[in-house]
Parts: sequence; C-alpha cells; structure tokens
Amino acid sequence: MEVKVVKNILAQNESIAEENQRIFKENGIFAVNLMSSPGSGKTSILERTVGLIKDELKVGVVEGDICTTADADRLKKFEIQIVQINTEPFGGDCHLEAHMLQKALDCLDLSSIELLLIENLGNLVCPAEFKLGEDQRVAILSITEGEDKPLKYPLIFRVADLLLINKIDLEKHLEVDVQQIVENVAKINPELPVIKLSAKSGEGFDQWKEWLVRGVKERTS
Amino acid sequence: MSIVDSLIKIILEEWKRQGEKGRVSRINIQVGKLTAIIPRTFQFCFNILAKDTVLENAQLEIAEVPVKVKCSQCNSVREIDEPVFVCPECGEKALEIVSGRELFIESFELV
Ligand SMILES: Nc1nc2c(ncn2[C@@H]2O[C@H](COP(=O)(O)OP(=O)(O)OP(=O)(O)O)[C@@H](O)[C@H]2O)c(=O)[nH]1
Ligand SMILES: [Mg+2]
Ligand SMILES: [Zn+2]
Repeated sequence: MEVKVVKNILAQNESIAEENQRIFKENGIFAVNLMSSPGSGKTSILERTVGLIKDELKVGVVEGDICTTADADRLKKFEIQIVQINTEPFGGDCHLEAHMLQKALDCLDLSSIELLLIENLGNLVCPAEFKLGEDQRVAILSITEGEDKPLKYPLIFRVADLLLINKIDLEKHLEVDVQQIVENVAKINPELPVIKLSAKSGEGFDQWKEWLVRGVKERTS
Repeated sequence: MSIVDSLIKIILEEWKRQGEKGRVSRINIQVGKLTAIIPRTFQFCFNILAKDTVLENAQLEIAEVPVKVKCSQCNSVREIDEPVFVCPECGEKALEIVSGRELFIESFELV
C-alpha cells in the first residue's frame, strides 16, 4: 500500500525558526548567523567586532562549537552575555538547528540584548539548509580557501545576505586572486553585498560595523 | 544526519496514524540538486538510523530535482546544470530559483 505524505523534511526546523524570529522581534533583537568553513575566522571576527561595538550596542553571542568551549573562552574577556551550545562530542553535529538556538535563548537575558551574533559550526553545506530564525545570514570566506569555493558550494552564497571576505591582510603574501573570488561569487549571486576585511589588521571593520549598526537601528526603530 | 533523522520521525508518525501496521519497504523522496545531498551517503545514514525500526531495510527512492531559475527580465524558466546563475536566454543575472532546493517526502510503501 502506498501512503502519500508530501511533507518538507525540514518543516519542523522551519517552524521553530519562525518562533525564534518572533522572539527576536518581540525583544528588539537583530540576530545574525555567521556561517563559514572551519577556520575562516568566525571567532576572530567576533572578537574584534565585540571589542569595537560593545560600548555602543548591547551585544550577546551564541557560540556553536564542537565539543570544546575554546571559542566562548576567547570572548569571556568582554563581559558580555555569551552562551555556548554544546553539540555532539566527536563531531556528530555539523550545523546548528533552530531548536538548539531556542534552548540557548533561554539562557540569555533577552531584554538587554540589541545585537545577537551567532557563530554556526564550521561547514559550508548544512548551515545553508537550516534556518535558525535569524534576521540576516552572513557567509564568511577567507582568501586562503581558494577562488573556486563559491562554485563548489553555491547554496550558501545564494542564501546569504552578506559575504565577508576575511584574511585580506594575507593578500600580498599569497598567490590568490581576490578579484576572482568576487567574480565567482557574482556568478552565484550577483546581488550579494561583499565586504573585504581582516580580523587581524582590522581593515574593513568600519564597513562591517556600519552594516551591523544599521541592522540594529532598523530593528529597534 | 539530522535530515535523515527528521525523515524517519515524519514517516514513523505517519505510520502510527495509519494504524501501526506492517513495515515500510520503500520511501519516495525528492531532493533538489542545490541541496548538496549525496544519495549514496543519504542511504548509508538512513541504514544506520533505521535499524531496529519498522523502516529497517527500506529502500530510498531519491528523485533528484534539477535546478530551475526564472529570469527577472525575460521571464523564461530554464534549467541550469552548472552553478552559474545567468539566464540562458538573455544573459540576465537577477534570477529566482524555482526548483532545486526540495527536500520532500512524497510517499512510502507499506507491506
Ligand atoms: N592572517 C590572518 N589570520 C586570521 C584572520 N582571521 C583569523 N585568522 C586566523 O585563522 C585561524 C582560525 O581563526 P578562527 O577565528 O578560530 O576561525 P573559526 O572560523 O572561528 O574556526 P572554527 O570555529 O574552528 O570553525 C586562527 O589561527 C586565526 O588567528 C585574519 O584576518 N588574518
Ligand atoms: Mg570559531
Ligand atoms: Zn532572461
């Protein structure tokens, strides 16, 4: 006997994501989901961003980290609200899901957060499929990863609202064609805004900060 | 993994609704080509997670859905087979994805 189902496999995740989005709206929070390969610089960008912005905006951070609390520890010095999502030990998880974020939100005082930065797990595939209920999705690509990454993982560049090209300080030391990266991204998504920056030197952070501040203003106005 | 997990949950729920009778022998799903799901890996994960359930040994029939885009200029809907989002008709780059992101369970077979 054939049983008709016709159901989106991700439906449950999507309905929890919608609840999260409602929570963000109610609390006047601008939530940003940072997605990249392992080692592209998510935590480094967070560290510099929080340092730059914490006197102006009330920032909270959700750290998705496989197994360890190392990334969350790097942010402790800032005395902001941080919650760590413990994913499967030994790397069973490869992305955050909406229900994990929802649990993490319970640990935060949401009324005193304006900007919530979420570090997803290092992976370019699954995070693109799993909405968390965030307002904006930011993909990060570092110039050391090769010019062809966008062509190999098109979906993430298609669903992202902004692309940060990190480690731009290394451009002069490497044989990498940053323009080629930008062109390949444009083949996938010509409307995707791009900011080139370096978590090491701080180059490009004015523009990134402006983007975040604008997002918070739009949410709270 | 958690995609497979959700798939199994949905089918088990439906199986209960059907009166908890029989075993599932086949599952028909639609997977868009943009989802980066590899059918072989998917079946592999499924075999592990379905063990000791009524879904054990079920065959996954995975229908791959091509990537189709709709052009904002000439309105034509065309299939693209490489990740370059340019309208094959007029060269326009502002395209809307109309298919290729599916992750749908269509039906399953009870025996
Ligand atoms: N030269 C240079 N190195 C950087 C930059 N940003 C990050 N790094 C280095 O890249 C490595 C990885 O950075 P992380 O910030 O830990 O990367 P991540 O994306 O958080 O990594 P995971 O959480 O493991 O996925 C570290 O050794 C950083 O010091 C940059 O802008 N320039
Ligand atoms: Mg990190
Ligand atoms: Zn066209």
